[in-house]
Amino acid sequence: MADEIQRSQLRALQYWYVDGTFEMGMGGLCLLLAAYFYFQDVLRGTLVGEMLAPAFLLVVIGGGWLINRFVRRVKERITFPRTGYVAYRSRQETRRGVRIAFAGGLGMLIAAFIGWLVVHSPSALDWMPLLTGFLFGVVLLLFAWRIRLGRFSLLALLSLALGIALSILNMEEWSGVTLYYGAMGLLLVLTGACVLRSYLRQNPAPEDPPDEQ
Amino acid sequence: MSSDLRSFAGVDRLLHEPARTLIVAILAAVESADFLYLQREAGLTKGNLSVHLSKLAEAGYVDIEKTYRGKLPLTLCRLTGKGRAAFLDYRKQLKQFVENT
Repeated sequence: MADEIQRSQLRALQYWYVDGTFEMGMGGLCLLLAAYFYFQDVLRGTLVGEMLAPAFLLVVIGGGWLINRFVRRVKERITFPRTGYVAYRSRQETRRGVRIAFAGGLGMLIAAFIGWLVVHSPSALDWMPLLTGFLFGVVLLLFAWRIRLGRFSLLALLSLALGIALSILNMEEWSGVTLYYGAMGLLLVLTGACVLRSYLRQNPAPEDPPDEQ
Repeated sequence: MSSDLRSFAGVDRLLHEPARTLIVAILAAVESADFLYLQREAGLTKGNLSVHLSKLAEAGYVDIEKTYRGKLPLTLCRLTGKGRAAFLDYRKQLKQFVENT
């Protein structure tokens, strides 16, 4: 009985990831970052290129917000009419504030470390895909651990493998990072599409509107 | 009767029913869930789920809100503070009983 309770609660947490839209959203964000790094590389030395550098945070936050809206819209049209609607509890405000401050602080520390590395040792750029792949892999592993979904562990391994491969290839300047985000984005979108396809096969569209009493 | 059994005899009878335990367990993990999700997860018929939800609502364990999403009816179920406390208590009693036997 206790096991069944735990299983049903875990399934409720996993439900957000059941249709692959989360991976597709993450993939979209990676593709956006790939486009950002590509244009920054191409437009280097121009006025637009100079303006792009401080816009990184805006791209991440704005892109994340847009993609979150897209995922919610898709879920409202595809997932909720088929298998039902679930709203998740927002964390306590104080804990949420601490978590946001921690995540923001960690992000700024990592960005500062990468900036310092690039300025003091330009050859560090060769290892940037490895560092990116490792950090992204850790984030995916945390997801896999929290919601007990094996496919995120596999994606974490692929992220690390991609980072190692691109670092060994020793590409020019930011090309390695651009390729990493491009490839990872495509991989995530593809994984999400496969999960969505499987979900749609298992859950055909309801013929009648729900008749609830 | 041993003290363990005696303490277990005082368990919340409303929650000590597999379908209702499952409904409350699901609702305890989320903010709210709709009728369709609960029906699929608990593997119940619409009528059965309606009866169980009514009993839980009567006891003040579950809050039921009938609304619309577009033109479709939407029944949202949410665990109340009283329901959450009762569920935590029930889990504690169940765990204690299993550990001691």
